[in-house]
Amino acid sequence: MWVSGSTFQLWMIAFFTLAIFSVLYKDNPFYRLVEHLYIGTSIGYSVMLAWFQFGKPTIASIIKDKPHYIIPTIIGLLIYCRYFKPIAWLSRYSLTFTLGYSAGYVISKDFRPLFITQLTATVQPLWSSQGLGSTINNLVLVLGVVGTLTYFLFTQKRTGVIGAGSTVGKWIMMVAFGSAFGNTVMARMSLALGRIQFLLGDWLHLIK
Amino acid sequence: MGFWEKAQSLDQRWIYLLLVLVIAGILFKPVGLAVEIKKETQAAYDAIDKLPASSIMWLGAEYDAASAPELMPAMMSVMRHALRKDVRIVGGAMWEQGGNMIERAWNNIKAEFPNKKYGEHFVNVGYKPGGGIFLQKMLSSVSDAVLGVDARGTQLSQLPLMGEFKTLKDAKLVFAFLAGDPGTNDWVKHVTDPNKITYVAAATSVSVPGAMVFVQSGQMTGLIAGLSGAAEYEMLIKTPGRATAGMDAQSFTHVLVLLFIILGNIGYVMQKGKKAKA
Amino acid sequence: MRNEAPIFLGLIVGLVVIISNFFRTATLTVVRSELDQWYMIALNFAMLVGFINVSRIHVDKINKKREGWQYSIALFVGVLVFVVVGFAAGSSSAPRFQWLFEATLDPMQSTMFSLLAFYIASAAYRAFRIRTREATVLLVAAAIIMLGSVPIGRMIWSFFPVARSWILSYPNTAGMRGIQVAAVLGGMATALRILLGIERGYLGGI
Repeated sequence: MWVSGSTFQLWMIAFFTLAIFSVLYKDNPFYRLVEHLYIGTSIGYSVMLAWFQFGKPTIASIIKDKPHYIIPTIIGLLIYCRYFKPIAWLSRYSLTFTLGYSAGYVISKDFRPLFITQLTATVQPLWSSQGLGSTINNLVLVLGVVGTLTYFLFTQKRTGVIGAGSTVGKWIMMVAFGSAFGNTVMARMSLALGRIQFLLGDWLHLIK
Repeated sequence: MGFWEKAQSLDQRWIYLLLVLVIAGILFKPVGLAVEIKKETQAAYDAIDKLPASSIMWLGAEYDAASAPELMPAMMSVMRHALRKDVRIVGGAMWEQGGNMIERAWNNIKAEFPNKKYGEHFVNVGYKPGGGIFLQKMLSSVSDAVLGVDARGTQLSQLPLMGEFKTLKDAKLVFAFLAGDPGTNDWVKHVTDPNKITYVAAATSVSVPGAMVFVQSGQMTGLIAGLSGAAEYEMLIKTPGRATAGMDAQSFTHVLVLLFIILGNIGYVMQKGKKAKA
Repeated sequence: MRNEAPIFLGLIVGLVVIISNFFRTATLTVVRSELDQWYMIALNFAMLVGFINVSRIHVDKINKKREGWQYSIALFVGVLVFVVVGFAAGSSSAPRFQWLFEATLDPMQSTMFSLLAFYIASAAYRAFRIRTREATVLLVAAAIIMLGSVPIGRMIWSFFPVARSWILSYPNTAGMRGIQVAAVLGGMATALRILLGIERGYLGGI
């Protein structure tokens, strides 16, 4: 029964799949049941992951050779004080510890790879020795990045160079958003395709 | 009610039905459209193909069940390719379900590699919290980052492969499967930029536009883009699977969506014209 | 002090992270390494917040017998099943747990998200209207990407894959890079505001 791909498992998967697809026709009790089951299983799964992947090994480490891990464990558990009004203020320590770390991390780690390297890669020759095609590509890239950044200068009036730059940025972003939309359609269609492949292939064995 | 008014107020369930019929119809009767290999997919393939035997590759499963139809075929193909080249794999995840995704991929392909053993040729350390901080910690000590145990609860000291894989820098290549955040930004911040480890990825189609930025800057060596990229990779390793089987249906759904947009706009223009005349 | 002390803690932690990135002394490296571990542990033990928040809503629904309260019981059944099987299995990669994951959460989540395909198809017909030049450019780019990414596009016109590749490599990269760079600057500004205690919204009014 616990074997992956067993008949019982396949029928369970098919039931859940069809119950959720049934909402496309009309909202119904099967869909609502499976919707709530989904939320519940998602929570149960997260709790078990957190326990087995890190909670249990942390406690084992505290007992074995790293007793000081009790401090971050307590800091993490302080978040639950938010549910008790008299001691809710203690949960601020948990929040500020994690947010403070994250803020420091962002400031120290993001700048070079996501800003400097990206802008360096944008510096391309505006007249390329590799021909007209390469020149146009570089122009699109450089002017596109500059234009997009100019578009987000909200403290300047959109006239003159700033106006021209933000117009270029707007059109480049329209192409980028179109690309994003096209890829989103592709991604979503793949998901539906995957489910139908399961129903027709793995469950009903009508296709390979 | 005129034709175009009726068309504009068409019950959306007919649209859903048409989509299902197109997908199912093409799955029943595939057309056999040829898949063309894109240069980013070829670059991803070449990155693994160039690895010497016995080198270690890190497999990052940064996705969940919502992206599995696109990324699972790619993951299985990449694992097959690596194991055929005698490359050893250590997998882990910044996403909760990533560990189970790696386990599923391994379970699906391990029968093809009876001489590859868990612990010697493949280890799954599973999901760990912290996102990029997990990667950062692994750069100094994998054992500390995963608290000494793999996804199955086995002590790392009992797994021979982990005797050679002490830090992420011991990986010759990082292959990440991306569906959002944490994802590319974290890998680029920790892996490519400061440490110059070769970084290749497979991304859901939604993530492709954002990932291309890193391909252009050279921070990402290759990219398997969505289901079509997965189909191309299957062709490259000469093992067609679910991705290849789905490409015909994928093609026709795209045409269908574009037809919907065109018809919807024609109807809109016709209705607008009628209202203007009235 | 109840406000200031936690914010001061956040500032110290953040400063240690920043300084240890730029000054790689032996002491700072050890301190930073420990702090990384502490962050992961603290984050992990806050895992039950989502469960508690959802439980409060649904327990209240069950107690007050609001419409659909029976489904809330199904929610808790889902939680219980995973917890019981999880503890019985002994690890999150054990065969029984993996089986349960593949039989329940995996297909439910995949199918939930696959509904978007149908909604996109419906929206394409009923809502996507080309009213402006900008929308036209967006649609043309989308069409090229959609057709250039799949085999049928090459069959219709061999230029589609070439155009797709060009759009992704140049205008898309330019637009996405500009947005990303702006987002990085915004993120750093927000991070600085959090460290300095100017931004306190994350405390949630506690």
